[in-house]
Amino acid sequence: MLFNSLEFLLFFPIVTGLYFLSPHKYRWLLLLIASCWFYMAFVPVYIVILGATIVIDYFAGLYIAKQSGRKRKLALTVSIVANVGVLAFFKYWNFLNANLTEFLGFFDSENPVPYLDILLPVGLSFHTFQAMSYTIEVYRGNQQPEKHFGIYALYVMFYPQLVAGPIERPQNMIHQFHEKHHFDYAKAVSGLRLILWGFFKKMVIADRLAVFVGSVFDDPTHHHGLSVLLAGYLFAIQIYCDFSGYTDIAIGTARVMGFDLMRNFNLPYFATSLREFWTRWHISLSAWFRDYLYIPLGGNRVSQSRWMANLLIVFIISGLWHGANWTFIIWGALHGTYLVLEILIGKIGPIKAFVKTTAGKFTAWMITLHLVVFAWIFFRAASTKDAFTLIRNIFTDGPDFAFSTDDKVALLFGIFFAGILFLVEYLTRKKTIETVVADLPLSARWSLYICFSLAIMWFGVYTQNQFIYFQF
Amino acid sequence: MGKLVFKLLALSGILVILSVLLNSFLPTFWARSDLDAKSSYLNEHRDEYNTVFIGSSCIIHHVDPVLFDSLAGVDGNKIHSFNLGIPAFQFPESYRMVESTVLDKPGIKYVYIELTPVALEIPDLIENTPQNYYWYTREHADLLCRQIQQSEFVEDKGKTVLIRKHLLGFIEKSLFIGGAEVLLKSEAGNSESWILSQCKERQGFISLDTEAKQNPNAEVFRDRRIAFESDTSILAERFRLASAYRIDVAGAPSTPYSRFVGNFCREMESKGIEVYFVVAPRLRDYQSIREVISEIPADRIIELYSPEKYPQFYQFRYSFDRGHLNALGASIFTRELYNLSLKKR
Repeated sequence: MLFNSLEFLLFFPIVTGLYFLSPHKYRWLLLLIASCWFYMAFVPVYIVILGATIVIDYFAGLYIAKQSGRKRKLALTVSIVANVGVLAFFKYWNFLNANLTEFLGFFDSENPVPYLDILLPVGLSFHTFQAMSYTIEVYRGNQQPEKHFGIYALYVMFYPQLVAGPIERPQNMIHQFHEKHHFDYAKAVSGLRLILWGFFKKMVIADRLAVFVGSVFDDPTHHHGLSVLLAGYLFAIQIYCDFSGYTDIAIGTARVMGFDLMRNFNLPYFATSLREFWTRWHISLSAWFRDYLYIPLGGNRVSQSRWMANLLIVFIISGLWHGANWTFIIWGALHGTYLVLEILIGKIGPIKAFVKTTAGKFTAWMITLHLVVFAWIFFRAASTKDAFTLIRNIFTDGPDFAFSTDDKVALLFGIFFAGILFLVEYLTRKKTIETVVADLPLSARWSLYICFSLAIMWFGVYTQNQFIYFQF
Repeated sequence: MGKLVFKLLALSGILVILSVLLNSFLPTFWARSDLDAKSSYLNEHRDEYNTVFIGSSCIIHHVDPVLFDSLAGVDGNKIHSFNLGIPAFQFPESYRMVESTVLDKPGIKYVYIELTPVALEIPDLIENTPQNYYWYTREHADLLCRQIQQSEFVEDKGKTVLIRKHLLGFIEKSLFIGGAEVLLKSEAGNSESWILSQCKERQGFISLDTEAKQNPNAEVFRDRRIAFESDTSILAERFRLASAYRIDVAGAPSTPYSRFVGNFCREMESKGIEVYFVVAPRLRDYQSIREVISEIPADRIIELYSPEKYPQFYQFRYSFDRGHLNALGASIFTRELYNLSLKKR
């Protein structure tokens, strides 16, 4: 079920209402049924796959806690192999096969491995990572195994964050399902504010900009110069509004019911370094890779060359996590390379001093922003060939804006509202938007509610565009 | 929780009021360049015309007002007509056209409207376009839902789905939900200047042969022609459909649509306007106009679909594409239209 659908508009108040009306001991069941319903609105049969991994991880968790030594490790390995196996099968089979075909083609051989006509289960990478964090944390002794199967299933399937995160940790979530939540007016209002803000970002900005961005990225050979440049910048805004909009709705939805999900975005485009960017963008994924891959690889407590290699490995895998395509691998590799260069250049004395000045901070911000935007070109392009065509076309002459007047006006609306977004983000940079709004006088608060609601109603895009990160 | 629900209801109420207010201040928008061009031309020349032809592509491409006027002139009838046909127009848009462009022009004495079945589903072509807004005025949404309820051509399950869709559409349009986008979106296709030139030269008529040669988007029309030339079997199918159909109004049900058209007809008569309803050839569906015909005086129905009387309309020589006549066919159509209506007077 999409958040931006009529079904969700009915689903959310009904589930929330029933949640608070139900006795505490049945609430987990209500939420689990609601989450299954939510998930099955996409491709119903895939709930079987999700169910199978939940069963494996549940028993693996119990087994790991009971055993010691090699058996613990074996149980953890089984759980990780099961999760990664499902991910690999659905997400990477055809990608690997296509590369194998190409490779064998060099030797004039045919690939005997068949391609699979399968659809990627929605949000597979997200709930797989969340499930893996459970068994790893149990293995590390940071989390007691959950004995209640329903609660564990809910930890993986909790509908607000099921398909696109935030990727939660068991320490943060499982105890919340056991706790009795009373209706908290302040929390509910705060959640609704976030939902409103999320819908504004998704429907008014992201989906509006998606039209122009799509027309350029889907037809790279026919766009040049300013069109490509603009599409690159606007995609950066689109993907931010799309994903952070989803996250705001997810956090807000959970918060109305009394659950606290972790923050996933913190003004990423205000970052003045790549390292800072990754502490502000998709925070839950960055933290996952840091805790479960980067640190086990040795992190920065190794030789400099190994440290740099670790960074590259993590970011390349992060790229691959996003999608089975060379474009994502290049995107990840680019970010890894940026970080390596940033660390190396940052050690140069005069540069170290310069970035502490106002001009230095501004320069660093500009460089960071443009490096991120450049990498997004690979992220959005359908193929590496398309990405390179687009980059080349930035510097070539050709007809700009193969676009009707109406679409240009629509684009201007998108840019106008994106301007409002960044203005609001700048003004609320020291606190969260919910707390800033809460501190306003009543009339100002209601004016904001009305203005943003009307912007969504009148200027929103109602074609139910899927969230970009659902595909991952 | 009650406090929150109350505040949410209050906010919703404010949003509804503001949206309805905005909607009432906005003109009923069509935002089609061809429609805008024709309407503005007719408004500028409001005193020149006493006859208009309204309908879909079967009017704009089939009725030549210059020829019609000259035929009338020979008979001593002072007719100066204008073709207000717009591609893909149908109920309820045609009637809206009468309200918005004809009623304020006292000089208009004759109105020809193409008689089409009520479309229970919004055609893809106009869904979420400004034109779609006219489907959701209160009275037409109401009529549409009642028509669906009574329809003998839709299964019960389908009726629920359609009615739900129209009710949602009505709410959506009334609250201006997503309205800004629709307002921004104008019909791509014929440029305004090209249409205006045809208004001046041909009194709004554009034959498809002309479109294929002179239209700024001539390729579209040429493609249509090529597709038709590669497979003309549709002509035989349309011929079969039309041959099987006999207008027999005995026992025809009275439906919201038929009553609407009947009332419309009487209202026009009371204003001194004679309305003729044209049944064009090659309709996809003849059965559902039977009920409407039963509400209209017989002398106001102009049947131009009969394969027995007009075999040319089903022949390749007179056709441009699967549903339309070429310039030659259009001249026959116009002559017959005149012969069956004003010539009889």
